[in-house]
Amino acid sequence: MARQLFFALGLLAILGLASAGKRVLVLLPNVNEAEKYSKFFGSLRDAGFDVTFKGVRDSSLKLKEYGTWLYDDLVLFAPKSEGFGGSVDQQTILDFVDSGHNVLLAVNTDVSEALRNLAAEFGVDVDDRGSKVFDHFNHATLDGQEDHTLIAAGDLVDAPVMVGGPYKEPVLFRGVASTIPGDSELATVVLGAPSTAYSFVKSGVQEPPTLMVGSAISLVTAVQARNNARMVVAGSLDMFTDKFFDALVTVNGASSHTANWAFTVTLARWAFQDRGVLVASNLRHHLLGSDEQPWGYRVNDDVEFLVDVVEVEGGVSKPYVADDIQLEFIMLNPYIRQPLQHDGKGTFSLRFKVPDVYGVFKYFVDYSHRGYSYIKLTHQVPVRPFKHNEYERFLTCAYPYYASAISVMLAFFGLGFFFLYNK
Amino acid sequence: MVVAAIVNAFKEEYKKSPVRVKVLDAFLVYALATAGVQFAYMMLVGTFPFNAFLAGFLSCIGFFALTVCLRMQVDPANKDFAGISPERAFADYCLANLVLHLVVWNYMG
Repeated sequence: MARQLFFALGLLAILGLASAGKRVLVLLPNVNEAEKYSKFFGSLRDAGFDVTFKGVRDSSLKLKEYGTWLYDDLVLFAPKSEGFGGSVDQQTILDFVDSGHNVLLAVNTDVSEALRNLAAEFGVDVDDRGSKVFDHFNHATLDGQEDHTLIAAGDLVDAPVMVGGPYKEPVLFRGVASTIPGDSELATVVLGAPSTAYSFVKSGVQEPPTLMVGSAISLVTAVQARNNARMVVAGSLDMFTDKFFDALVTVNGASSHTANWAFTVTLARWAFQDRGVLVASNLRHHLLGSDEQPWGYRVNDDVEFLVDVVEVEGGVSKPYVADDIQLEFIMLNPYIRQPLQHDGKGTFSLRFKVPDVYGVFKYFVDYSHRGYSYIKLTHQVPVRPFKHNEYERFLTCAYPYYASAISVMLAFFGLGFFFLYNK
Repeated sequence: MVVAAIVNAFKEEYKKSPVRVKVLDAFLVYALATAGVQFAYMMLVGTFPFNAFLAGFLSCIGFFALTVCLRMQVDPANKDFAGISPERAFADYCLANLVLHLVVWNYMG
């Protein structure tokens, strides 16, 4: 009896540890709607997430209690809600993101102003309420009904860590368009609209031509903030429903299933920092031929720089493999800028010669590969000039001068000899 | 023609000078040649160790100047220095050369 009790307690403890970092709060218009997304959340639970459902207007809603966050990830599946219940508001959600936690926001045509503002704070510009994405060439027919707002999109970002393997089937989408600035450093278009798509509001008034057309439309956008918190803004809530997961659609005459299930679950795992997280550690540097880390260098020294980078997926660390992590040796300007070489076991290293300039340098690694967390490392190292006894003693190019001075001394010696001893 | 006559006259007179003076002249020519070689080398490769160039060049020029002084004091045809014995002149010459070469090697680096 006692053994069984201990076993149960131990199991609970392990489960408690496993769900640390994986507490997901899902806000829905009301809790009953969770059944529409049963497969999506079932897959998340299988991946080890601890999912809690609450109504978005629930007055007991709170993200933070006594200074600690109760959840690690937030899912907003309530596009029409004008506000949040309990102690949650837009500022709370922004603080949630600022403290390193993640948000998955899904909207559709009925998106409220509050959620449009929230998406704008994330860096994504969602189109006006009531607008839909139309495509007259790449739309799908579902259950015999042709729907020009049902987009079969296949333009996924080239980052398997974010979206998963190459999909043969299209991703089904019905909702509202978003855009991001063309020069955005932190936001990425995960699922782009086909070039024949456009965003349109069917109102009685003559609309000016919209700017959201073709590849400028982002259907699903991902933003990774500078503190590595991730936010995903999806323009279609229907994309996550069981109905779209199981749908058999006809696109341009060809019948196919959809890739929604694999795509949304992989993207959600990426958004909740279950995939594509890099951890850099153990930065070290030393002179070639010695193992200890010196306080500084001398000009023209040969040195080696090393750092360990691991990729964490599903809680499991594995060595990171890439050729594009770059090291800069910088004092106002980068004197050295070279890629690090990896040994396959997660150690990245570079051997180089300290430049012929003295001063205070710093090692700077600034890595932002799409889909992976940012690595920003700096380490300051002073570089001293030659000591007075470290210069070359005799210069080769001055040998003629040495030789001539010596020869003059010998001439003087010879002259003395002659002068004194010649009769 | 006149130049040839002057040169011949000079040569005739020069042969009459004592051996001592002629040997001093030979050393003078050597010092000048060495200075010329150094200057040509400097023009070729640039002035990089400028202190070394100056030290070598000035050792030759200083030696030249001091040997000229010795020649003037030792030449019997020269009446201005009649009161100075050749030994005294040579002793001064040695001292001066000592100082010269000390300075040269200090500056050579």
